[in-house]
Amino acid sequence: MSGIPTMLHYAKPLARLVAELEKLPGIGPKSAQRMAFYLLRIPREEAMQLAHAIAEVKEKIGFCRECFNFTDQELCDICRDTRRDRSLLCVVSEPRDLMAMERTNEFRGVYHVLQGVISPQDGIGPDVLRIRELQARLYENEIQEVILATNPTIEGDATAFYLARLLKPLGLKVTRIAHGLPAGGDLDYADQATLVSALQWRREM
Amino acid sequence: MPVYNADAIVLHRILLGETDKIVTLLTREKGKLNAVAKGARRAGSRLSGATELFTHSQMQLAVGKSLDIISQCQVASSFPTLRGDLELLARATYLCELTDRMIEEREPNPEVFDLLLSALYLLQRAQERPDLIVHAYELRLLAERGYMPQLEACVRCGGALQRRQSAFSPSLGGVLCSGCRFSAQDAIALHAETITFLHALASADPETLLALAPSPAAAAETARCLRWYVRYRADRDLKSAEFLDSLRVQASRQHNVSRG
Repeated sequence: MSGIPTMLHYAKPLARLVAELEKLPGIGPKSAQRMAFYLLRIPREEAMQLAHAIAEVKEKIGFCRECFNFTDQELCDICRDTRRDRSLLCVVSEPRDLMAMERTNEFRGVYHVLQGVISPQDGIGPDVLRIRELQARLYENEIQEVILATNPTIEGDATAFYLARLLKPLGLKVTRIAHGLPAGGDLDYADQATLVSALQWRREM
Repeated sequence: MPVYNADAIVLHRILLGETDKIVTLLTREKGKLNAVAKGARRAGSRLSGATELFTHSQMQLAVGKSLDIISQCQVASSFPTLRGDLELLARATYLCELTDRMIEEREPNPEVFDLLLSALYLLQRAQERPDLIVHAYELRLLAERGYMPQLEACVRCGGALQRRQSAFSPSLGGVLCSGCRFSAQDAIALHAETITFLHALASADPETLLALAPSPAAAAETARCLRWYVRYRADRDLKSAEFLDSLRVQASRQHNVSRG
């Protein structure tokens, strides 16, 4: 809700700022007002830095031509890095999943960002994801293994199965990251699907 | 804050904030309702598994101001077989969306709850012909809502159905005899075998249902009739039905390639 009765009491530029802030995810009318007043109180330079950062990100950030991660250049840092193992390709759904994988410092291959997941109930099919671009990369490059790193949700499962069905006939090794009990989790509270996969993907000690 | 227990199946969920979900539950006790699962998207959350689509759980909910809040849950079945197969997963998702669309909120209907639960269990056993379960569920859910199509006699004139040249009209809600089959614009031609098959889908016990083996023509006609009839009764196309269609097209292409 844009909170019209409240906005009538504010000066127009302030009301506009509140209305714009309200459009941000997870921000309600009260939070928007609090943020607007905060921005009014801080020094002009600080507020301008925020405004410039928003403008700059909209101007300069686009998709990497190769992996569809966000970047300010034609190719992202990972795709430009010659030390990366190009025979290993990790498929993730969002750029933030790529960052999570990178934080592990374990994976030295390259990525492909789908920019979403197949979600039948939301009407998101494979056509709107970067799947055609993924297929093109696999035909052209020296990739030997594709690691599917989608979330262990219904949508993540659907995406992984769909991709496996599509990519396996190409003669590639297609794997999916393991899922089971989370660190600090509780066996007693684990659901069947989690326990079944934990058992299936157990390893010898 | 008063609390209550419910036997629940997750029909739909949307993300809320950074770590929460709003889930649409079909409960045996209170019918369909929306509830908040706080922190359910955190990796170690005790609610994360129970709030995934089509999972069946015993839940404790606290009555909230606008939405109830899930406080405890024990998963009864998360249907790992359905989650492990794209064809079954797509069909289970469709059953949930169809139920969500056809059922009003807070109208207790234990029959529909049991129907959905048994359909999910049977779907796990129907890897060969999963559409048997989908179509049986469609017909039986529609019957529960009072929309069982007329399959006994002509829906227009009440006359007996001939062995040949019948049709199905979604808008009239039943089968048309050979004399009336051109009287509805949306009529879909039907073989006599398809009408017998529709009867079996609507009434067969689980074991008989799983053993049904319709001809490809009867299966295709049934799929077409029910697709349009569900669309007519639900007032719009279901999103997961479109995804299911794309999988069916893919499967029939692969079938043709392997035969060719």
